[in-house]
Amino acid sequence: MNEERQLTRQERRALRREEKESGRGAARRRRIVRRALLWGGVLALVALSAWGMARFVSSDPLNVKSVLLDTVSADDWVSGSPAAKHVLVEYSDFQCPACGAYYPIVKQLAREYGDRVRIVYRDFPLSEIHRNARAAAFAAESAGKQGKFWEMHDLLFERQKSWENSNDAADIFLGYARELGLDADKFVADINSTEVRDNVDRDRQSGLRSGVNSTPTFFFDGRRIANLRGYAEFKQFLDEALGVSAEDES
Amino acid sequence: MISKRIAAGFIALGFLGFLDSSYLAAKYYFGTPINCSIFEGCNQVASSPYAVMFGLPVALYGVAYYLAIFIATIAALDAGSAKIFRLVSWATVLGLLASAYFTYLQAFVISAWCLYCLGSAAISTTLFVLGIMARRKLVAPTVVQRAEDHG
Repeated sequence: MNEERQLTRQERRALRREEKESGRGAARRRRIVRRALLWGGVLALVALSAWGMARFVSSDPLNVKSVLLDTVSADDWVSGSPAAKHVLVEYSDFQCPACGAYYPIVKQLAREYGDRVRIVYRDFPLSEIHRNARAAAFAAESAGKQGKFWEMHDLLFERQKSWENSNDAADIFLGYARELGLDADKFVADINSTEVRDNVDRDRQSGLRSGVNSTPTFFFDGRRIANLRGYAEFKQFLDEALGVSAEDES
Repeated sequence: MISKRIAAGFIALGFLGFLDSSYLAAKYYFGTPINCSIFEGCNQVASSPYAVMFGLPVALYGVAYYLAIFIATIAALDAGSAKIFRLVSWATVLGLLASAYFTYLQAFVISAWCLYCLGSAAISTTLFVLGIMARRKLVAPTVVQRAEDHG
């Protein structure tokens, strides 16, 4: 009887072990599935966000949804033919290196498209990060008072490196004014006039209204365009834009 | 013991840092030309010689670092490994040092600020603090028990 009981106990133990093992197998399978799901999910999340980021960053420049609120007026500095039907407005900062890099591009555009596109320069000095940006904007406005805005504009960009971090920017600008043959006394008086300061501030305010938060920012026919890489991309953009509107007219 | 809360913090911040630095890396490779911005700092930061290290953009090292934190923490939870978790907590020191160096560069060498770089520095600092807390929690159970014994 004792033996019999022991047998059943052994049997029971074996049975239990068997149950346990098959249960463990199921648990292991579940764990494998769970881990596969976990790591698959992690991998998918990382891949998806990397892909999304790349797409987001390289998104179409024309998808920027922002509109220029202040249209071109008599106060603006305009180059190109008054008869031109299209307008490219640039918000810029004389001390901004990126604006300096765009300067030759915009100049070339003005030469090539001046008959069809008016190019407008508006001040958007980022005085928070560029100490001489406002003074440079005043200098250009003051030169404009003597009819040499664009000449000063060119000089400021071409020699940006020599005044950007200078403590004597005002003197350097005065030197440029003399070089351009301006009346130095009038130039200095204009720089300190409220009118010149108001002009610069008005430009900046109009930029803020239209959502400008960096320089240079371009608006073509009132619509903001993302900064295009180099002259070739700008040319391609303008050719397409002008081509489309030419079709509209015909 | 691995603190679930701190691990969740590691995972969330690791992922956030991954997004932040991958934005900078993506911008480096196919972004539109960087402009001067009140918020993003000038192109000085991203186009300075300090933006590239050993031929790769710094942002890419950030991507690798945050991704490692993110994945290793999940692995530690998955395997229940306090060892991996401890390793992650020590790795955050690396992130803190790198961030301190880059913040120093922006403040004193380049003299321009890049918002996303500062964001990354904030994330790294938080990760470092969490790392300290994580190591405390890893030895905490005995401390707590002792405190209970006394009480």
